[in-house]
Amino acid sequence: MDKDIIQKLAQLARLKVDNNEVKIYGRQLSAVLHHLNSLEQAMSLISKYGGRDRVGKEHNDDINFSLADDEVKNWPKDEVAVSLKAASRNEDGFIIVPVIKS
Amino acid sequence: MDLHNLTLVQVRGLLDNQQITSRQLTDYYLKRLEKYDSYIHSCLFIDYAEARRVADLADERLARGERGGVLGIPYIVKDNILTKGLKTTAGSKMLADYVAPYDATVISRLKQAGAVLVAKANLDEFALGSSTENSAFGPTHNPYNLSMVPGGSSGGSAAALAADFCTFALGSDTGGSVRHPASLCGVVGYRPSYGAISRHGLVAMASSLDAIGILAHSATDVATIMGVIAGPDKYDATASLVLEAPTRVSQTINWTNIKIGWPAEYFGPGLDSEVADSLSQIKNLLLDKGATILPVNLPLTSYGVSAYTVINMAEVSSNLARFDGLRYGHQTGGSNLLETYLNNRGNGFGAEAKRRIMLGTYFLSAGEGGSYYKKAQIVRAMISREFKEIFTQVDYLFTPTTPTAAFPLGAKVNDPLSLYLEDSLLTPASLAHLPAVSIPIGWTSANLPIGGQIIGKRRDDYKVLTLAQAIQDIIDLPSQSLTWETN
Repeated sequence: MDKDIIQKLAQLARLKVDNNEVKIYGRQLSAVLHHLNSLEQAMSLISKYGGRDRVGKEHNDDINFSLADDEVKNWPKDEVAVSLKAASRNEDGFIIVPVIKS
Repeated sequence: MDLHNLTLVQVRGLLDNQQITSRQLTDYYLKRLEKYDSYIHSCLFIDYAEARRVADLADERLARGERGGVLGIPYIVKDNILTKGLKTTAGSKMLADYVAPYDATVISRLKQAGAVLVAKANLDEFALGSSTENSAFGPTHNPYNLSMVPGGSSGGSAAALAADFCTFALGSDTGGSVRHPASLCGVVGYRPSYGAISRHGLVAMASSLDAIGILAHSATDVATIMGVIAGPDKYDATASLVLEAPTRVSQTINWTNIKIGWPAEYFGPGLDSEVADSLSQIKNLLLDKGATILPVNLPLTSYGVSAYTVINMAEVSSNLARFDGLRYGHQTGGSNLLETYLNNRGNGFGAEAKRRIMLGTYFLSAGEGGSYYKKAQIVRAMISREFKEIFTQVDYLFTPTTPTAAFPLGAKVNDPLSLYLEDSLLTPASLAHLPAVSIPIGWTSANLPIGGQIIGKRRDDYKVLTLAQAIQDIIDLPSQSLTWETN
């Protein structure tokens, strides 16, 4: 994980991190991700045996449970329009909310 | 009267027979806390006045003839479990001044039953860790060697119990956070079947894995506490299990009916030789008693910690998103809303929380979910199935709790991966929502405790505890002295 990814993740997660932290987290998180590649081996092991149990009965329902496909999509424009219309104030496509901290 | 290291059952007998009062017992623990906790740093807050007041109330109930349960018994609770009117920090600067407006269900049930809360225990921040070094309020030390970690994340609870500051303690176990410190501190640590104990009022970390657990000196003690705190709760929809409690846990076991699986994957190359030797001795004792021990295989075990890491971090990043310093929590402020969020969260969270939030955010990011989160969920489902299959052949599994005994403070603090791997033998039962208990089974040559883990079928909590007690009775492990007591 390079500096840019760490900074992007920190921004997404609303965390301030300084340059020193970026360097340390980059190294540490990369090591963790490297270890997590073992999930690929687990998937190979699982696909080797398929969805069968020891007596050969299929159990694919365990595996193919309902997770939505991981696709990057823009929010439907009509839904955005409905939400903006329902908001008490909006500006440039954003909902304006009351100030909760001065 | 020597009150040192008494079990709940022993204390119960003394209270019910009026050989001691709850106030005397509470004072005994409070004095020890005051005198010795500077060595251990197991507790964050000690509520002297309230503990004495509640103990006096318990004595009144005892005087009226009430008996049994946890009436008048002093306990300590991990500081991520809400206690009305008392600080609940979750070990974090983020919640340093947070006072809960209500009690967790487990606390209100214990209050009603007359138990005496004496202190809130230290923990890894938001229960994120395996050494209790990640607390914003400083690390806890292992009572058997002050330069060693107590394990975690319920290290404060385990250390307090081992140091004889209470009769029992509560912790939370997401990927092993009760069993791990129990093993390193030489006490019993139990994780229930998911859904057996309400999580209402537990500061959420990874909701599909979190469980409130119990630390005590014996498995029978654990069962007694279960009798008070377990059961459905209208405030937690996942707390739906109704477990049938036996009339007594320390019943005689017919060993010839006991079938225990010995899973090869839990005895891999990273296992310390002294831990392996202790397990071997237990195996021989069980065989001598007439139990059947079968070698079994759980091939996906070694991938449990990877699946756990992904699911845990994804859920951590979601659950900890609520801590923004606006409604409550640490406030640094900023010139605009985004800067305020960044500053409040950046300064309020410690390093481990930040690591997990960032990785969790990564796993849940569009385009990354398929490569990590989905695989982790599939592996989790398959691990559950492996257990289900194995439990058609055996009734219990016996494994080491941790690959090694306690390690030195600071040794792994900059190497998060090695700390995650500490839970490698514990995460599979968590992922599969199974009951599991760690019991003390031996001592290393350096006088550090060694723990063994018993895993059972879902809902078989009391059977697991019955076997655990039977094994504790066979081993009859000698205690070790606490060197700082003589100072």
